[in-house]
Amino acid sequence: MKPPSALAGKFDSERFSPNTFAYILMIPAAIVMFGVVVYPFMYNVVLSFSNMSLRHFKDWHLIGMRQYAEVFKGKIFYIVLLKTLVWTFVNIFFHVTIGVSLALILNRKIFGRAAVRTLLILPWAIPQVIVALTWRSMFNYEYGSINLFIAHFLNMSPVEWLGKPLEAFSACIITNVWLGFPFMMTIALGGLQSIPQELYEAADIDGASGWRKFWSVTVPLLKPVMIPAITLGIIWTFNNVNIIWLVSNGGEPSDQTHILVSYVYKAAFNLYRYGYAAALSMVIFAILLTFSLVFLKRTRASETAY
Amino acid sequence: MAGVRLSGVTKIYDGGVIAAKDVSIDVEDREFVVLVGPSGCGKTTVLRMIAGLEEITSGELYIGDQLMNDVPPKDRDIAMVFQNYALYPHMSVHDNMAFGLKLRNYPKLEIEERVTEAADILGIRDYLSRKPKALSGGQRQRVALGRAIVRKPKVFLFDEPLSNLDAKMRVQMRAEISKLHKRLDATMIYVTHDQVEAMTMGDRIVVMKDGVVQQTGNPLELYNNPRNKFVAGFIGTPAMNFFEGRVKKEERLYFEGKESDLKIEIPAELEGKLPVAEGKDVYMGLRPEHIQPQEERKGNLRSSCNLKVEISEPMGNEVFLYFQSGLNPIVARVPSAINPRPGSELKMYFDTAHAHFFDKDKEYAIA
Repeated sequence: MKPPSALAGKFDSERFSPNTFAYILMIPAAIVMFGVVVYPFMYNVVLSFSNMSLRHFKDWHLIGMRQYAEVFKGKIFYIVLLKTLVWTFVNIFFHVTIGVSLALILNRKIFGRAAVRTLLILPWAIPQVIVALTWRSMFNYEYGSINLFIAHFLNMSPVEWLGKPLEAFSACIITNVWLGFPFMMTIALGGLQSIPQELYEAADIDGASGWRKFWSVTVPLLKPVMIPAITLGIIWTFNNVNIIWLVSNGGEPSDQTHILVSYVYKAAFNLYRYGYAAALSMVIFAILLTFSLVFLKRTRASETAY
Repeated sequence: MAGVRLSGVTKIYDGGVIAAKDVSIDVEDREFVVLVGPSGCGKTTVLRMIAGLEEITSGELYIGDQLMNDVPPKDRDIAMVFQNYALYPHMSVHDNMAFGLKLRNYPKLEIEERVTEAADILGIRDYLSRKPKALSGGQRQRVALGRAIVRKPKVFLFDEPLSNLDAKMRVQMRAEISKLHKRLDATMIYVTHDQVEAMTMGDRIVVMKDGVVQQTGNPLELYNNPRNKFVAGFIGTPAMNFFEGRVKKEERLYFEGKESDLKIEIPAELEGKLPVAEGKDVYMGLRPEHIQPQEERKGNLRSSCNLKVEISEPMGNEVFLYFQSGLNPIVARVPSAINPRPGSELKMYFDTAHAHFFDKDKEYAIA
């Protein structure tokens, strides 16, 4: 059997098996993947067992599990982990509910649908840094548009958004909700459009109300597309250092708004505790890996509906 | 059980497209009526209006004695079988069939009873716990039928239910649906574009074209007495042969083809019905079985013609012969003993006692 292309034919001599040519083609991608994924990951694993820090930058050596012990010893890890879970859950909840609701509206024949859809995808298209800094200005106590709105239209006293822990954390969540719903909306809209209209007609004849059709037809058939999207969303949100860092200005006030990754970022690049940060990031990796495997298996997301 | 009556029903879509125009059909209780026509003829629209999936622009729809124009689908007591089955993919076969009953709050025991009964009738009892994707096309269509049966509705509606099945399965399911009709003794309205399905299944057939009912009648009535050229050409395979030309009278009455070199005698008693004196063009229609290589009909009709066989299609028990006379294609259905080679010439007799004549402009039947 001869491979079809002339180039491939040259490799089809007795020295090469047919698979060799395929492996050769994969080499460039494999090198890049090794350089940007495998090597840094392995380096991080090694660092997590070391005492590397600003003090031991050139003379670092392996110290076993001490950094991991350090991570789990302090109360701060559990507090930040809890905040991370709250952050992730609240964000994903609103991403999905707002996203799916908007998708349901956009899936109907409404006036100016294309324009509305484009507008709603905008938050997604703006660079996160710009979004974060814009929202940060909007949360400004004196001049921010949100407090101006609250004072003028709702006749309430302005909120100290960035000065208090709970308010600052809420500000981060509001920003990230605004940033994250277009993704879920786009996925849900695609999912909705793939549900055959006939199923709704069959349900009509079967006697289903609108609400019943939503729960018995729409939701189960959206599940196969939404579960992987939600999994991705959870991983992204769990790991979203940008919004927390930029909106709260690095965990302010007094490191009260951290989630795990921003805490790692601070440990590594503000406090230069490389070994500790590497160990903490391995813990985060383990949490996310376990979650993804269990969640995908439990929800049987890889099963197709039709 | 109940009959279905459409009276002057019209459907005009938002864009102004008229999908059905002044459709009046009277389906009697327990009757099997087939709506047939080419795609885009409005047959599915009519069915969807009966189901309540499409609003009626004007006219009246009665199921039983009740005016149904503004009644939602679930309250019409109908069941529908869709072309693509429309089974809920995430539910098991059992749940697909039970869904409608659950929504209507039937007691659990009765639901089980009905589902099992329907599954037995359709031979799908072994698949009750499977999901639709684990079933073949024929099995899925049975489930769709089952979903309709369990409800015991007044009227069954079928929207081209067999067109996604392969030829063999289609013939099998055709017979099963006919049997089901006898067994359930229910009113059924069946939409198809396949005239063979229409002929074999329907108590009565409604032929539609461009949103207008062309003719309603039992299968043989449509076959033997088509009201216009469209119905004549649509019902029957191979389709009826049409010849454009004039009827003239010299010693005897004869038909002279316009685009062909045909000149064949026709029965003298037709003279009064045909525009002989006016010299107007007409269409003569002759079914393939009425063009034969030996003179089947007695009666001194000098109506034969030498034709060259272009293609012959052996069907086993018979052969379809295709000829060309001038610009006019001709097809004949002959016994399989006669199987001429393509290119050979054959003397063919036209049994004009069975000929149909249609007005050239309006295409309605004149004799």
